[in-house]
Amino acid sequence: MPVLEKTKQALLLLGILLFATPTLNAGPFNAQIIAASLEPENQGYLLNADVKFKLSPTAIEAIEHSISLFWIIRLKLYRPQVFFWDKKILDYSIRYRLRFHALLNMYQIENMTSGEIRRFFSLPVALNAMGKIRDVKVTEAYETDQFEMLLATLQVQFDREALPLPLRPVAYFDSHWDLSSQILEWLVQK
Amino acid sequence: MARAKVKIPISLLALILFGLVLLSLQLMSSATQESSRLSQMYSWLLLVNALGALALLILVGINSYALLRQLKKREAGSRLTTRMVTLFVLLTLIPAATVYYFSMQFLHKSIDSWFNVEIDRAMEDALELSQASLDDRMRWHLRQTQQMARNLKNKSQISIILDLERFRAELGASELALLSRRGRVIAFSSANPSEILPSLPVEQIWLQMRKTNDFVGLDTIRDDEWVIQAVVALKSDQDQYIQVIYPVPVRIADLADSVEFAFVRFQEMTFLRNSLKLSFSLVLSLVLLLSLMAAIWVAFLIIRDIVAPVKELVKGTQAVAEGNYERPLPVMRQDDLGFLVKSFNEMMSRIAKSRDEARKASQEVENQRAYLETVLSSLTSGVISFDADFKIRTSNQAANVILHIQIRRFYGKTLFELAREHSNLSELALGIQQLLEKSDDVWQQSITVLGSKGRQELLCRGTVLYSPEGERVGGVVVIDDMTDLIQAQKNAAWGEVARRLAHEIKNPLTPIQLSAERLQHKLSPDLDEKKAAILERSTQTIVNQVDAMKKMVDEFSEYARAARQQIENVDLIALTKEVLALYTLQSADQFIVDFKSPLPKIKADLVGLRQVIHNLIKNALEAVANDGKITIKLQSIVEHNTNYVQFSIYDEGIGIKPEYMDKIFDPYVTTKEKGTGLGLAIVKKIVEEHGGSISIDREVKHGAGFNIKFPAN
Repeated sequence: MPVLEKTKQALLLLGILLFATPTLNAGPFNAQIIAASLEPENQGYLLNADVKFKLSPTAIEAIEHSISLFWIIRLKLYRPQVFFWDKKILDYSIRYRLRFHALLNMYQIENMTSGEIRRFFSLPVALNAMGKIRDVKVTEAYETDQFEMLLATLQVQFDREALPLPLRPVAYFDSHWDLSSQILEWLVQK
Repeated sequence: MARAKVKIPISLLALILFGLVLLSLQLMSSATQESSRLSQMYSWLLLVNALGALALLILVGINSYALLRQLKKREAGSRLTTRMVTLFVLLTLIPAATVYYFSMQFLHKSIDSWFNVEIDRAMEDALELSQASLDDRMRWHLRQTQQMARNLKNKSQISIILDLERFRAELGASELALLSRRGRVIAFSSANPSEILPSLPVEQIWLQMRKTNDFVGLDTIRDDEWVIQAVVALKSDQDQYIQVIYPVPVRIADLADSVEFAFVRFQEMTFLRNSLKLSFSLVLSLVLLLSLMAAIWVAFLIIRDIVAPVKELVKGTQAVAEGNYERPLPVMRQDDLGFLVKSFNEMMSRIAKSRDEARKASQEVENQRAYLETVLSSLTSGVISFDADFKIRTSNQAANVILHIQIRRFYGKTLFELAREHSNLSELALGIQQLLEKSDDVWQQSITVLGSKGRQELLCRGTVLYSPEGERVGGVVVIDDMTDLIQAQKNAAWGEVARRLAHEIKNPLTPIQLSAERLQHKLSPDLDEKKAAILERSTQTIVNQVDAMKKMVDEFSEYARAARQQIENVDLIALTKEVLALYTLQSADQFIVDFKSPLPKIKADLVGLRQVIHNLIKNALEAVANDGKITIKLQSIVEHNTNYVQFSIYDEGIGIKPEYMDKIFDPYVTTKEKGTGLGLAIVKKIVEEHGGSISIDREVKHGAGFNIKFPAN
């Protein structure tokens, strides 16, 4: 059914274009996904991404006052459908914690998903290291046909709810705490 | 079938609301504790509470708006509700605002008191002390490791590997590893036999190693266990490295952790100082707002419930004021207000009963009055009643007809005012007024009135009305129009005179005339010419005068003759045309006719009616004396709900002198030199025999006019 396939692809492209427009409205302290790729692997995919984290002065001050900040890097895979909502076939997330270790006088990045801890003497180096996501293996929940086109979305979400309690209400209204990225969408072919 | 509406009691509703508000606030209060599981729901709870407060605010706003509208419309109970709500809000707001103000002050000051320079410095010093302590230990372990490296410098790799366990034990390390330049593990010894792989240095350590050949640092392994990691190059060309992991004594580690934890908490709190104030203020404000709004809303509900019976009472009194006693008020409660409503209902029912009785009595009185009025209005005598101040109270229709005015217009006024407006009735009005004021008993007086319809002879009888207590409460005057009666008496008298004249005078006339003619016939031949002429002249005079007397007596006979009528339906237009035809041969141009046909027929004696028309036309012709127009009108009119056919005749003659106006229809009254004065008297007699009436048209200014009315079929 080549005609149906072409129609689906055209609709998907249109959808991507529509979804891509919000990236134009990115805030000054949003994280930016510079590049992302999803390479098929045996039973799943290998995720590689470069994220540029920008912290607002308030966020930097919070870090320096030993407040932990949390981000969630969320990858989703959808099977596009013409007449219904796209069907989600994968929802994978990596949770990062960034904190200043006062005793060590170092910035510590903790991958809460894998338990890996890395420490750095400077904040930019720590942020840079956190932004490099390399060969993260993700497995899909549903079987997909070979050569099927899938829609991948990646977003870096800043977890406001993990902030200390008094900061939470403020964080929803202060652009200095708007540290999430826009959603990046791209097509993946298995 | 009507569906039963389940009404939740207000007290239960208020309890549920306050329960929900308290639960919500309690949850939020618990959530403010970081340790609480609810802290994860803090934002949601805050949002839910804020939405709840907003919803209550909207509810209060809607209620306030509704109350304002009711107040503007001046609805029953709205002012009482407003006063109660205002009072309640003031009573609630003043203490709440006071508590809120001082709580905020206390809160802000308390938070500020947590922070001061000394504590800040102490915290930093404590951390620095911990760091210094750990630094000393790290430097010491680095020196130990460097010493070990120097000792191993000249040893072969095999002997190092063989003695690795011993070296580790000598150093008191938990882990000792021999690493290649690329970070590959050559040999490894651990105090924990279960560990098969060492903790390898991270990228950063290798980078530093390239610069300084050694590294020492603090790290954590396995459940945040503090260790000191020392890496030293074994050979000068940096081919091999040894990594030693030294355990930090538990006591030192715990102290360091404790200090760091406290420092971190303090740092956090310092950063969150303003946020804390804001957050607590927000929660406190929310608590206040929620509680206040909930209290005010419940106050609205309770006050509305309290005021409802009062509102019903106000509506009830308004209904009573409008005369509606039938709707009993619903008794919604069993308290004092309910008792009040019950009493009100009872009172209304009694009033309604009394009103019905009063209405019934009033109806009876009204019926009596109407009956009396009907009787009075049916009377042919005019009746006028007066109050104690001699002001006119009531009158009947006959009084209006007799006096030719609407007496109703003068109700509540005295007869003086009536006399002022109707000057022709002034003599009558003033006479009655005087008699009313002066007489204490029944009085009677005849008064002549010159009205628009001519002279009227009125017989007035009056009496004073007294109350059962003997007080003078008014008077009644009965007026009878005696004009027709007097006229009939006059006519009867004249008829008697005529009959006597005919009988006593006409009989001797013929012998007189015959004797005069015989005298002339017998004596004339014996007398000379001169004397014969005198005799002839004298006898002729006697004969002429006897003829004249005969004629006069005949006319009297005619006047006095009893009516011998042959009644039939007469078309007055046709009859008038027939009579006119006799006159139009001589003077056609003199007559103007205006017949408004169709005209109903009248029941009349044709002969009598013809004589009436003859007499009137003759009378008019004599008045104009061949020099003036005569107008004859025939039309149908309605007076006092009765149909009449009106015959009107107008001439442009000399008219009727005012002194003759009231007696022109009497016998022997004439304005002409040759007239007998019986023409109009006969006309009047015939007209009245037909149930009609004749009158002078007093509005005619030039000449004379007569209107004759016959009842139509």
